[in-house]
Amino acid sequence: MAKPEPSQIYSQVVKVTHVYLGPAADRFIARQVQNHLHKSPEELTYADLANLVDWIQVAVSLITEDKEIIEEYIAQLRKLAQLTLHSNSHPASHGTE
Amino acid sequence: MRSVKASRHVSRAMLYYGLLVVLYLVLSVALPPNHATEAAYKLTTLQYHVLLLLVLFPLAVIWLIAFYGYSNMKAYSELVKDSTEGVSLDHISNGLMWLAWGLPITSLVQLIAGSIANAHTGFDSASVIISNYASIIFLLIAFHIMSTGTRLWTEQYNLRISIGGTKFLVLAFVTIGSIYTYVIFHNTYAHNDPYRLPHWLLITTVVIPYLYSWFMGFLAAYEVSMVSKNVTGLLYQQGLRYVSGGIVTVVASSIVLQYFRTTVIAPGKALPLGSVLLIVYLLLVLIALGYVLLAYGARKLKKIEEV
Repeated sequence: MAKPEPSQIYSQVVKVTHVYLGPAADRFIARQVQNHLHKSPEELTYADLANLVDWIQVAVSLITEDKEIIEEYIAQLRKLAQLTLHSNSHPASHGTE
Repeated sequence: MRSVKASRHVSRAMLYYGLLVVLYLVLSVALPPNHATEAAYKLTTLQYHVLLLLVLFPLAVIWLIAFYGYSNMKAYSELVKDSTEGVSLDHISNGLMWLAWGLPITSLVQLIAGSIANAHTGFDSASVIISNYASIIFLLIAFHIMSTGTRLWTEQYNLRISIGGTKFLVLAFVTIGSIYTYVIFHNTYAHNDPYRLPHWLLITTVVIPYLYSWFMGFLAAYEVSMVSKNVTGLLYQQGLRYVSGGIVTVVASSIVLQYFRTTVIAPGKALPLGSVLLIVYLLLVLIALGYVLLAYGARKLKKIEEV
């Protein structure tokens, strides 16, 4: 059986994370989704994003003490959350999902 | 679960280290002393053994750091076993393991062979040959495995050594290899055949394996530094740079140490004994420093995989 494709929002979060965690990005996000949201990557939805970002902030704080990098990374994720929230609340102006 | 398995690498390595140190300690005390050394320095048997234990202490610290370093790298490679870089990191950590194990085991082999030679003068040549081959075997296996891992790693990132890099490696290797071969044969004639081997055996079983392993080692170190410069991820890079720096330091220091040990024959003639020992210990400390960097980097990378 083919492995299910991760959801688009999951892929977007991994893309942002890749800037900071490189090849470990996918594994890191998958772990946060599975351990804290009790979901698999393909089940991640836009509604989960805010909660996920909070958990990612906690996890990244355990990896590094560099506040600048943490703030920058979380800011990127919150920006992504804002964009997706805006897209979802205005579906007519939203392109493709 | 995988985290538990990973941490077992460290505890198991520490256990093996402890056993090896105890074995070396027991053998240092139990085996017959070198009477020529006792006479030369006017030592009693007790003083001789105390001196051996004093020499053991800094060595034991270096071995501890080496075992801690490689086991942390093994633990990290266990955590990423199923990832795209898992196989390459496994090879690299296995290579580092062989290098680390080579430190106490070659010392043990030299101790045992030397003690047998002390008691039976006919065993003198065999002792020298066995000690040399023990060093070669570990280095050869370590660098062969490590270079397989680093090659897989560079292929994963579609990295190729540049033309400039290739020329530099070839020139460095040819220069070092030529000087090494000259010095080996110079020693053979000038110092009454210290390697105790016919020339054809010296070339095929000492010179060629050493040159091959050093070239593999250089290549591995170069490829690791290439990957660390090209990988993405700000936080990932922080850990990887320490790992890369550690591997380069360990590989370079190991090569220089072996080069020095096999070419500076009859210490006291070319260099005073004190200088020889100082250089050997400095190189061993550098190896330990490499393993410290390695352990630090591996722990940073492990944290990313565990949170």
